[in-house]
Amino acid sequence: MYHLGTRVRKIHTSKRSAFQTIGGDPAFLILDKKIQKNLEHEYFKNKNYSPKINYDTQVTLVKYYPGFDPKLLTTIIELGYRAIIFEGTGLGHIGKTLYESVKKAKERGLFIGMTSQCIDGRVRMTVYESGRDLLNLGVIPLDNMIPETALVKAMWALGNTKNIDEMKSLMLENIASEITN
Amino acid sequence: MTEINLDKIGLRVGLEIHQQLLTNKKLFCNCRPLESDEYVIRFSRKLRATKSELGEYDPAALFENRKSKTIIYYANPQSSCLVEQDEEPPHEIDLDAINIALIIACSLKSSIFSEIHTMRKIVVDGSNTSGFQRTMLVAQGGYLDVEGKHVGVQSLCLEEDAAKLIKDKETERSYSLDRLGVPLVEIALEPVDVSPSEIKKIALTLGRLLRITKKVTRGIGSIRQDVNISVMGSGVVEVKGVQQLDQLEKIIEYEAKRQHGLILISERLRNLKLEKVLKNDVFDATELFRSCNSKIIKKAISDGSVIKSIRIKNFAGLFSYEPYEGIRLGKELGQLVRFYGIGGIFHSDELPNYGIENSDIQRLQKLLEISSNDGFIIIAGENSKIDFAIDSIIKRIEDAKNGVPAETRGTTPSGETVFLRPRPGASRMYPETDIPPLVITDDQIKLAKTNIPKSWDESLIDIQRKYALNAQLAEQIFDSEYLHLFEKICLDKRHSPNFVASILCSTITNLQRQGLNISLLKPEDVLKSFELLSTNKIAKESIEIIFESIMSNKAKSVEEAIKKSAITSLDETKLNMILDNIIHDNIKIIMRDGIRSLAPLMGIAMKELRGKVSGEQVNQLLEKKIQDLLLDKNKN
Ligand SMILES: [Zn+2]
Repeated sequence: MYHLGTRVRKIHTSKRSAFQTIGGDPAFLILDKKIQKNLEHEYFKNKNYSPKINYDTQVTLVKYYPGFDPKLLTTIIELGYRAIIFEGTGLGHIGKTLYESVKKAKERGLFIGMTSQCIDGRVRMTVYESGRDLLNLGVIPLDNMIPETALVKAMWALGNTKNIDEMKSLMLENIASEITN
Repeated sequence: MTEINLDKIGLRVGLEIHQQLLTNKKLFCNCRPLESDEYVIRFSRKLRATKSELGEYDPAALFENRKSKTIIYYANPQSSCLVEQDEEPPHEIDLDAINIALIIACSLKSSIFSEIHTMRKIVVDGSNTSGFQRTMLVAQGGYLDVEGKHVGVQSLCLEEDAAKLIKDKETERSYSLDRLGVPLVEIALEPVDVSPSEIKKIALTLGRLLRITKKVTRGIGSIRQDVNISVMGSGVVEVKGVQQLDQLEKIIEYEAKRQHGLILISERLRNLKLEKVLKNDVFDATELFRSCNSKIIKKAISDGSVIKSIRIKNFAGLFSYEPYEGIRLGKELGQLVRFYGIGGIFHSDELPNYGIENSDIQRLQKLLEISSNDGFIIIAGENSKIDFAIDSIIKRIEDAKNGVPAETRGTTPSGETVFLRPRPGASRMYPETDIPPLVITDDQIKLAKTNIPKSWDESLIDIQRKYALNAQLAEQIFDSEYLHLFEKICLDKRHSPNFVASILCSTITNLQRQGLNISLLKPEDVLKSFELLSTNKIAKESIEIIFESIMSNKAKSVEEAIKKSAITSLDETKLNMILDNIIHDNIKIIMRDGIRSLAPLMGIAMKELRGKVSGEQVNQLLEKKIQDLLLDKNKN
């Protein structure tokens, strides 16, 4: 089996089948000793592309847990980070205690994206009140992008633009199958 | 029995139209609205009535819940995802669908709400995996102009379509998910007191208003009409799923007669000051009927059913009292119990009959402690179902004293209506909490206003001009389900629009009139057939043969139809060979009748060649061959 780099996760520390595609089927299969395409769509959105190899590592991945200290977030902001990718609970939530820090981060022009700690599925922040609160604070739901992919994509996006609106549309644009249907 | 006077009974009819919208994706997810018979995914659920988030039970939900069926869903990943399976919350509302709904609202001059709130409407037949259908009230008010008269618009809603029913068995019901979530608009018109024929005109006008937007789908099931019918003093009866306009008139007439008939029955019941039927009027009569000779009763007992009887004092003659032809309380009760999977009832007015003899009746009257002045009902059914059915019978008899109960009814092919379920209560609706309210901007409304389509007449003239069709054919194609398909086929300039239109309008309709199943013929099949025609792979005549083969379920695809009906385009050598053989076999006739033999020979040739070669071509070739032969003969 061959997996898409944007969709693969290592789910076991040692087994042969340690790597698996999340939220879809493997991209290629070996059948009759031949590699066969298993994707229904194209890997890249555009067939012709010129690589933009810039990145900016001022991005961090934050896993939320009950009791998370908001000061940690304040410190990240003060350290000068430009983007935060949250790994929230369930459909994409973090506790109310972080709202103030999130607001501060937005005021400083940081990009804040939301992914889920759940292995599979999409974030959907219109279902519960806390999700809607976070949407109002300007947190961007990143559909079913896996957190590690979102982190790397944010570094790349930040490397190519410093404009927050451009960054947002880059993050939501499905470029290399990082979002699946 | 008298004839009914429709003008004097306060008949009021409100139309409700459901029309699928033509969008690239479904209303709450990215799935494409594709229909296919290939279902890779299968899962099953059991529905339970739960309190809505407002804490109330819906009576219709409880009613349906008593049947406790298993629901099986079939899905194709191309046309459905976790949203349809109710395993993922809905995504954003599709803007395209909203914008189409706004255009329709603007053409009806309705007032559009500045905020759209999604609601959940409880649906308990399993046609929605979630147990509810999402619906949004988009606009209210406005009117439809029907030849100068204004028919008021009550409301315009944007909704998700339900799953498609595949099978309905006693304990199990199957749906496919490809249609679930397809956007549709529901337009409810104000009830009006007009004749049934005028209602047909209103429906046609509304249908045309939708079609000229070119943003609605066509084809079987893409438009459905419900009618709310009431007469003076009746509750509102909703008749669901009127597929054809021609049926509409008949159904309204029937329903008016039924409702007024029920009112006449109620007057008679009230005059009699009958006692209320109670639980202690129900008796177990299984033992009593063990010796009965009725085949139906015998079968019921051997199947393990129980037989119960209800006594109704002073009711003799009331089950079969028939104020209008075919309108009887007995019939209503028979339909009612079918809802519980019970075949029917026997009532005292129709007995002795069906193998139930006088002696059986006398013994039953003794058990029930009643005389011939009183009425009774006999009902057989499984222990688990029968009490529900009996409760509903008792309630229905009580309701009969008040006239026409508000209920939802279905239609029969002969234009009658049958009981489906009670009318849902107001508690059927509650807010959808997964979707925030959507603000409609002034810009959106402005855009919708500029996109209001031309009038029906202008649109018709456009079509006439563009494809050089006559007015009649243009109207036919515009009113048919096939306008999109017609335009798509005509993109290939090799086709004659007149020919395409006549195949789509008359050939298919004729096959349908012969009793063939139109729903088996998919748009892809039609497209494919015309493609083969334009590349000369088949003859004009083959199209009808292919359609016939598919619509009669002899073939599942165009390819199979071609193979089965042995349609192949013959090469000329082979054609010549076949014709030469025919001439050889019939040489005597040719010598005797000369060129007049062409007609009978054509008949023989076409028997063999129908669909493979055009008649015209065979005629020419055959005529030449005969002429050559006669010429040779004269030379000699
Ligand atoms: Zn879907």
